[in-house]
Amino acid sequence: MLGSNACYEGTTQAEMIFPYSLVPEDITPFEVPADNPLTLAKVDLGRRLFNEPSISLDSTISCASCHKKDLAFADTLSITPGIHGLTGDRNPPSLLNAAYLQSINKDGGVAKLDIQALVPIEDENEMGISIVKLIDRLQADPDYSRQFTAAYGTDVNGYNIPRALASYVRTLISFDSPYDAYTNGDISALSQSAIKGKALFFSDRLNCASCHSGNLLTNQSFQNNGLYNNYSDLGRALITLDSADVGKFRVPSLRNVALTAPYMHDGSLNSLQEVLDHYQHNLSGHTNQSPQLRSFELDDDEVQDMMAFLESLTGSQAKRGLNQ
Amino acid sequence: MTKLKHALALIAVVALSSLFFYACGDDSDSQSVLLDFEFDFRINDQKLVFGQVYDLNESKVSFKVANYYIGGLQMTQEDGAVIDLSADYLLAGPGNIFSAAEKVPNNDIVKFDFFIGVDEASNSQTETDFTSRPSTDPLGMKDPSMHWNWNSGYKFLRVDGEVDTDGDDIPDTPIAYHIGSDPLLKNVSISSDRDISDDSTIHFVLDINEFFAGVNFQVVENQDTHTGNNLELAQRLVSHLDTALSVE
Ligand code: HEC
Ligand code: HEC
Repeated sequence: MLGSNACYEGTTQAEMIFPYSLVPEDITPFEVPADNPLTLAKVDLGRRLFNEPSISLDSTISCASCHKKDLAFADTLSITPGIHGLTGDRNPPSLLNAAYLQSINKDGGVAKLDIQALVPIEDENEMGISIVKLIDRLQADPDYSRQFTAAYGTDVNGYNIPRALASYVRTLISFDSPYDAYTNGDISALSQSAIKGKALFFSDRLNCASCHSGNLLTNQSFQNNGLYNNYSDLGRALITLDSADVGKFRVPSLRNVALTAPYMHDGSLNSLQEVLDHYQHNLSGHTNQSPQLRSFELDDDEVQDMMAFLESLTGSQAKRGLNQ
Repeated sequence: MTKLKHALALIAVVALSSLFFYACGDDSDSQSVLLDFEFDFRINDQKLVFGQVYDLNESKVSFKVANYYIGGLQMTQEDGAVIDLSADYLLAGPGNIFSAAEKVPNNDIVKFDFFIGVDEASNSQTETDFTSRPSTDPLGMKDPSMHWNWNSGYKFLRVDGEVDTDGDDIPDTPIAYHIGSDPLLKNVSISSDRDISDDSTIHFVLDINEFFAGVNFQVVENQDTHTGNNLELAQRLVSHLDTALSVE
């Protein structure tokens, strides 16, 4: 008993290097809750659960059904169906760098990554199974029971199911794009066009970086970016109950954005071209629309430059579907 | 030596506690009682039965889930003493029973003060969350769930069922009323004159007719609220609790 515990501790130490090793030196490491330190055993378990259809009611849908490894853990469909072909309201976001999120989901409704997995597990349009039933199901599987006990020192329960999944999600790190290489001094990493696009993106004229700033190209605030006049999905207001928050969604990270079409909370814009059109010509002027949004007009070359810049945010591992 | 001392101490404790027990047991008939709590749901002056079809506000409806949280419970007795159960949460639901841990003097209860909901700290899920609570805890994970997975916190009150909308008298359009969020916590104060000497099982009664007073189930906007998506309806239903709740 004591012996195995000591061994477990030892492994934890050695493992501390991973996945922090994926975070470059110039980027602040993400934080891990004190009650759920990362270990390889948890990450392995989380990876297995992530790809496990049996954690849905009829054993047809896994996390990977909506968060696809070769699409930066997002999906090409606007709304990916869950069990029985049912659909919710939102487009699956990329999970890369989710370890850095200060609040979870597009409306920030979930307080921490460690309990996020209960959303898809219990949502009737996604996996549709009560966590209480899922605990019984996994406990009845000797193999999972053993793996949970090895990773958490206790059998399957409602505490460690979402925490194992969160441990895996924390390892999905992506800071290896041409843009990173360029920022770190490799001036050949970006084309001339992408360099011009970068300047446009960070310019006062476009003002994109007033919201899409920092290492993740998001300040993680909730903003209304003028998508609609009438929001059927109220966004942040669903949580705060404040009408001033209608149509506000968390500013998404733009890392790997070229891999994650379609765009916006509902996947209503099909391409980056459409996104640029939106910001130039289609702002709705909703009462909550952010005053940070500028009216601007890009010529054809500038559009190309912006596209080149946004494409330079694709990590090389993500591009090859290698994160796991 | 020490062993003997321990043994003696043990005997003393056992003897004392049995004395204590005896005294208590003797007492209970006349001076103190153990309170139990049960939760009744009433519709058309009858006990609500899940799955049964009822006429309600000119619609055919049936129900399958009815739960709410009672917190901060304090009961004032005729002599001014306060029975304080505010450290506990009572999950009200058909068939649920909550038993107070300690006996109380059997003086009449003249006032019930409580809230429907969950206090802000427990509701925030930032420290202790529903996954870290044991399944026996009223605030732990339940099926049907009282935790909100997509929003931090709990459904303070949850009623689910079905309504007939196509005129075949079969309720098959889902209706769901999930009400929560800190601003919707509802304080309730009920005066009473409850003698607890004969019947120490207190019944919290939710009258479904009063709760849904004036709600036309044929109107789509009245068929569901998850609070934020239909705040007006959630607020209206919460305001009905004043008349819908009683204690017997
Ligand atoms: C049916 C499709 C579907 C399935 C299955 C699914 N997700 Fe998601 N996921 C989504 C959608 C849509 C969102 C956005 C939800 C929102 O903002 O409300 C999301 C959001 C997330 C987020 C938050 C990301 C952010 O930017 O806030 C994480 C983390 C996540 N999912 C992990 C998982 C895990 C782990 C599983 C398996 C237990 C899973 N997902 C299963 C569709 C799905
Ligand atoms: C006021 C803050 C703000 C500004 C300024 C802003 N954005 Fe956004 N951006 C957002 C928000 C919020 C969303 C998500 C909206 C939603 O989910 O419906 C978004 C979404 C996007 C997306 C889609 C990402 C995805 O995964 O769906 C792209 C691409 C994007 N913005 C690029 C830009 C560019 C380029 C600029 C400058 C021209 C810009 N943004 C300016 C707030 C802003």
